[in-house]
Amino acid sequence: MIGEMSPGLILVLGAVLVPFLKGQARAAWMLALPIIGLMQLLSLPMGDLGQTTLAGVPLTTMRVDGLSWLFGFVFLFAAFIGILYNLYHDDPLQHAAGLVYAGSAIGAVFAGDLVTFFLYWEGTAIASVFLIWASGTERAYRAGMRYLIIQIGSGVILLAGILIHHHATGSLAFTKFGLDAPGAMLILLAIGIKCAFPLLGSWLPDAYPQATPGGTVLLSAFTTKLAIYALARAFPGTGILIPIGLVMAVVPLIYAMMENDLRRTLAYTLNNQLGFMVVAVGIGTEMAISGAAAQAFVHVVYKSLLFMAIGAVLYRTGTAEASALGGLRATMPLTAALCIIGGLSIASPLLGGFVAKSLILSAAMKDGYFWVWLILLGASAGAFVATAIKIPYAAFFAADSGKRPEEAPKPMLAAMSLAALASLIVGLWPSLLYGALPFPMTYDAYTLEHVVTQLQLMAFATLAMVVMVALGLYPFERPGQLLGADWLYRGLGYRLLRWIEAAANAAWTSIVGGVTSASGATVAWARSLHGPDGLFGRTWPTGTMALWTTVMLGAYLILAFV
Amino acid sequence: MEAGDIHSKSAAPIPTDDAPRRPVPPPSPALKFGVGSAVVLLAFADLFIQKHGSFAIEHTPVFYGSLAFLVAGALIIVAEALRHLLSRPEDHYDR
Repeated sequence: MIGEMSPGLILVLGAVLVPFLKGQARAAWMLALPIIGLMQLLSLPMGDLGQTTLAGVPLTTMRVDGLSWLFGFVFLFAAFIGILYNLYHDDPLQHAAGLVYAGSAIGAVFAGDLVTFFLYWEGTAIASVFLIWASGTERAYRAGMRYLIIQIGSGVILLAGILIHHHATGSLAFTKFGLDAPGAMLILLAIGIKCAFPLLGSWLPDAYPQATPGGTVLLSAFTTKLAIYALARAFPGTGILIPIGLVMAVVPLIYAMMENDLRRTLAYTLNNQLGFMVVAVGIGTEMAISGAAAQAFVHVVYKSLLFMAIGAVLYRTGTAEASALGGLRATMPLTAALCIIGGLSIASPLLGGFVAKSLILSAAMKDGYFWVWLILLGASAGAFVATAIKIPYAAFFAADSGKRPEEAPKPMLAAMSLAALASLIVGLWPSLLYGALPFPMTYDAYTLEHVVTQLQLMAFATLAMVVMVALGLYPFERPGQLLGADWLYRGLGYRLLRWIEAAANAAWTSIVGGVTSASGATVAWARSLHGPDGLFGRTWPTGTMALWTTVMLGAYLILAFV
Repeated sequence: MEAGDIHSKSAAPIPTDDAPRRPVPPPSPALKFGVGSAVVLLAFADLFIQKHGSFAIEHTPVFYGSLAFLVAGALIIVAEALRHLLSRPEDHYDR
């Protein structure tokens, strides 16, 4: 079907028609695109397909293997529910940007060479910023600008790495690099930016909460998971990723608990879950890589669900701030129930996260990484508090805000239900997921031991929360801007820039001042000599000249006799 | 913003924590009972299940529950303490 075209390209090209369609025709067309993409994916065999040349460079535009298939599949699913969710509005720009963005991410996953990968990588950056700008606020515009600069920066670094790599090795194949391969450090840095590594990931909580309700849902699915895919493809078993991932799994959790904006809270917990995947890629065994892929798969599903639920709250009430919400379950019971399912999906048996995360923990245990295992276990308890309890509690329970908004619009409810169903299917029949992993495996998640210990984790974490609420120590969130690593450029960097600007201004002023006064002095001196009253400017009386001529002639006469 | 702003900008952060929050209802008896019995039941079940993990600590009774309780409690306390340090007015970077 459609040759060996990448399913991603189907979405990108399909977006061209969006502005020319209206109403239900547009909705049907947009929903059909990911389905056509999925049919295309299912019809293709494994292997390097879609080979072509661009300016003499051989390209593999469609590489289907275990890893790319799984990511491509879940991206197509995320595109479908994201498009469905977005049908609540009628903005063709957002719809088209969303399709190009999703299509670029899918295209990048199937890219078999670095040039194709780079083109789609940049495509995700450029298309996605329109989802942020579509909010139309000054704050969204600025956050979008910062986001765009950082995303394009990541692309430029990637390109530099690719060029160095190609120059040294002559290869453009997108395969596993060691860290010592030429250009590999730059490629890792580029991926690390999109993957929200510590200090490199401030764009994530900065930009995602500024997008439109539907825009954030799409954003949450693709960029970071594409980076995880690239990491698993290019740097499996790179030891440095383990400490990096551990920091990601822990630090954003604290921010998630502090944060008042629930969409930003979700962005922080997204960063925390990426940490689990980065650690798994760093461990690099077959089980760990499969665990990272499985975790990415279920994470796309349940994080979309949570962003959709909070997006619905934002759409109906105009705010996503914990301190302004509460008690919404009275009039948004379906959204509340779906949000709880999304939260529980992070850990609970019968739902997606339970069957995926245990692969990563088991992989860490199997290779004897005691501290890694212990920290990840603690982080998963913390993530349960920050995601499964805090989010539904703040929006739908807690102190009644008195807000009585309507239930979410139908397209939103439909999209949320599909995501919840997907999480349930993976939770009930984990072999479906395990069989589709890069290294297919049989793994029994539902042992009595595992179920009891996991339920214990959830119950005791909930107990701690209940105790804290009873003691009046929680909730404490207030509106505000939390200082994070972005302070380095939004605070310190900005001030530094202003200081340099002021210093340059002062230097320029003094140089210009110096030159002006020096030239002024020269002019004044010349004027004093040659001006109307100057020594050389005066009109001398004839008598004076005759006198001096006489003096000179006299001197000549005397010299002649000497 | 003028170039001179960097000199005039006040360095001291303005705390934002003092706006009162709406009072939160205490946990309902049903919730307390539900969570309490789940905790007791799961802690009890822990004593009877066979554990296969390779780390000794995992075999401590109620290890998972204790870890989760400690982490969740610590997370809330640390977050509240840090919030006082790190929170700034919402327009902090825009001023």
